[in-house]
Amino acid sequence: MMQNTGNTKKKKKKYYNYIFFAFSVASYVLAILLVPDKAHLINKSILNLLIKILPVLVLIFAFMFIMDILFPAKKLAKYFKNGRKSTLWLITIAAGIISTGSVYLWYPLLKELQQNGMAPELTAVFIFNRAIKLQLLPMMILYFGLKYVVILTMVMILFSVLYGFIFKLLYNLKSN
Amino acid sequence: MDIKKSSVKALKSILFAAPIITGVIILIGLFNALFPKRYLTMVFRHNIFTDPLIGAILGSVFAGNPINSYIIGGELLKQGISLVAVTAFLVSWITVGFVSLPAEMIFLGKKFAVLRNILAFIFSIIIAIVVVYLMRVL
Repeated sequence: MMQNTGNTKKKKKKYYNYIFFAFSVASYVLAILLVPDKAHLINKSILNLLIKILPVLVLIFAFMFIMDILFPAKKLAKYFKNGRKSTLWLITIAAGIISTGSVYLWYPLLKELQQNGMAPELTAVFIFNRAIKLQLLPMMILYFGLKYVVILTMVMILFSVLYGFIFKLLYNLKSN
Repeated sequence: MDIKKSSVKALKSILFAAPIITGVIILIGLFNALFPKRYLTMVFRHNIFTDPLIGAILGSVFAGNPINSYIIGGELLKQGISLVAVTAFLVSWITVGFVSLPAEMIFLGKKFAVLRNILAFIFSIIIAIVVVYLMRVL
């Protein structure tokens, strides 16, 4: 009986992606019907986003594929379980900083890593550190000045650790 | 090395992720087209206490390339909006994702997504206050 409930939940979760997609398409159709004069702008905006994210998407899935070959799930899980915690945190912070593209493109990979034992707080720290964009720092300096950017970057990195710890505390608190 | 197994696994991930990522793109595209960012300055009240909160809320709701947040942030500063509010806006732009929240829930779990976003929202304001304080002290 309990197994049946579990299977139903799993099946439901499997269809969430299509439900979400249907909701998005319905919103699109509704917007086009309600504000037809903005249809061109909406289509242009969606098309621009698609063109921008496609190369990153391909890169991320290629990365997932290579990672699966080089680091099989068992090996990865073992590393997340037995690896030095400080090293794991440093790698996560660095990975968050150097990662590019929109955050939602990273969800499939993060999900896979979580399934292989990556702690939820590390996933949260990864996403948090994505706020630091190395490739965009010159642009940021141009707008806000070097001093501001250096301070913001340092504060972001330091606070990401605190953020991770608080996240872990609350996440486990809510679990118990 | 099992290339066939890895290929199937990657393909399965793509098939699961494709409708969600496409959905997020549609929603962000809709949002960007229907709510022009030039109206953002009108929302601020030039109040030292409410502006950081407004900045964090707007940063959470809007999504897109961080360059846009720099341009808007620079414009807000020119309009006399406080640096705390602009910093909260810049940080929450990336760390909090209101539009991508459903996708985050599907992939990483409801509890994870809700807690992560709430905490990131609070941190965007705290970080903004700390950064501006350090700017004055250093």
